[in-house]
Amino acid sequence: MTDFGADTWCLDSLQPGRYARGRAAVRQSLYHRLTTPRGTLSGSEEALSYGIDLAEYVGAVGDGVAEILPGIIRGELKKDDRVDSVSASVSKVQNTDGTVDLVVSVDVLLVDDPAPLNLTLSVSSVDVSLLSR
Amino acid sequence: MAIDVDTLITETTEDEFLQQGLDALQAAGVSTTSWRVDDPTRVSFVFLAQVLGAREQMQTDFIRSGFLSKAEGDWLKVLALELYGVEVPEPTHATSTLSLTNAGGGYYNMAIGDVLFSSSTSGKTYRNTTAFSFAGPGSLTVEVEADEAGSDSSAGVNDIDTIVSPPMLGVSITASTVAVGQDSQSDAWIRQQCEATLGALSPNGPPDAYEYVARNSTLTGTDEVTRAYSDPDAVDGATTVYVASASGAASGAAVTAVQDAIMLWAKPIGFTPTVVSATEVPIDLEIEYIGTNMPDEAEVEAVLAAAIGALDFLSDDGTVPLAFFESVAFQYCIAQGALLQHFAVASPANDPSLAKGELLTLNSFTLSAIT
Repeated sequence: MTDFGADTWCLDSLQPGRYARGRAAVRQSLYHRLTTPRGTLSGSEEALSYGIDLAEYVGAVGDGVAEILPGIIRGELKKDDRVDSVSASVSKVQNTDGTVDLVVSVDVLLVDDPAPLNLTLSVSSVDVSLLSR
Repeated sequence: MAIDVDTLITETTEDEFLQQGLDALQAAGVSTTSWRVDDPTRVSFVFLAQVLGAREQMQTDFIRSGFLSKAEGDWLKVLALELYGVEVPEPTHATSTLSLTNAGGGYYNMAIGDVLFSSSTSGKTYRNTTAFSFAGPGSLTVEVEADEAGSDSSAGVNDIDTIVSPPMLGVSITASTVAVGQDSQSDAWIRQQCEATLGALSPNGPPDAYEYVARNSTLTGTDEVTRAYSDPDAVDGATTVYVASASGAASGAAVTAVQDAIMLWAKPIGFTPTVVSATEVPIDLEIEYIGTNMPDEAEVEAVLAAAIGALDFLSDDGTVPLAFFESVAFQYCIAQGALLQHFAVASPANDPSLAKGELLTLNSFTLSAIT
């Protein structure tokens, strides 16, 4: 049985004294993978190749982002050894001020766990919010 | 029990700091092995280990810098200057004068550094250090300087023979003068100079003072002399100071420069030091081997020549053991990946003898495979 791990709770902020275990720990890890610019972590080869920042893709590749980003997300999340398979989709939301946000929906099957784990993120150029907690 | 500074200085690496932290938590019951690279506590530990490791490295370098025998690199240079007053010369860029011929009708107006030349022998590059205007047909001399400092950019007569850029149609290099670049001094040289300055403080100090002055290009005006030995068997105040370059005997000009400097900076009243060049003792060295994957003979020869060029004077008549040449060449060959079953000096048969004031030079070298 794969050990999904346990560590201090941390989504948008560290919460000492609170633990994230199992699927919750994986959800937080996957969220961090999609919100950490490459090169932020260091100390190992794995750390140097860790992460993408979804906010950087808002407006970066124009109309093609919905086609390009799912593959990038799959590749990044599959680096986690707890992840068996990834299905991702990206849609655009036009705001009233003319800006465009992205809504990213990711369904993840974990190793030795038949229940899918979903992450839905709202991505603007300055912020990424996890809608499904 | 003798205490060595190295046994007193312990250095913990970044990886060791991290592992110590993880081991401590594991022992306390925390499952650190389930942490992934991005788990918050592990990220914090990695950050802390990096900071501690960097500070540890800095601290040990600083501690070592207080000991002449342990300081290295830039720390050693700082110690040499601050404590001993020894200023370590920086490596120099080789310079040369090129003779150019413009056989075409082109006109070229070049600023300093605009033109890139190279040596087809070494591949090293040089740039013009003066601006020039060159109309054809005609000839011109141009001063150039090597892009890289050090002896690798040294060149023989007419070795700088190629105009790399920009293309100057009809222009060619007809001649180039010798170019000499000096390498940075080794840590061993720096330590030797520092120790020599202490000798100058002693009533028996003149020999060390002479050697210190002889090797100090700031005082002598020449950087050719890298080795010096002051004969302590003085009679009636007469002392002989032998000097040599990295390649062997010192030139007459260098001997004169050192003599003048010693007379000015180090000669005590009542003493008469005489500076003479070392006498070269050339050897023909042959090493035989059984093995594979050997480096080129020319490479091994260059390594041996450099090692021989760094040998200091003997304090009295003596010999240089053949094992020295075997060791230098063997270590280099192994470092290059050679696989050896046999490796030994075949010639000369006996350890070369040297009298006071003599230094070995490598006349020829042969690397022979035997079956």
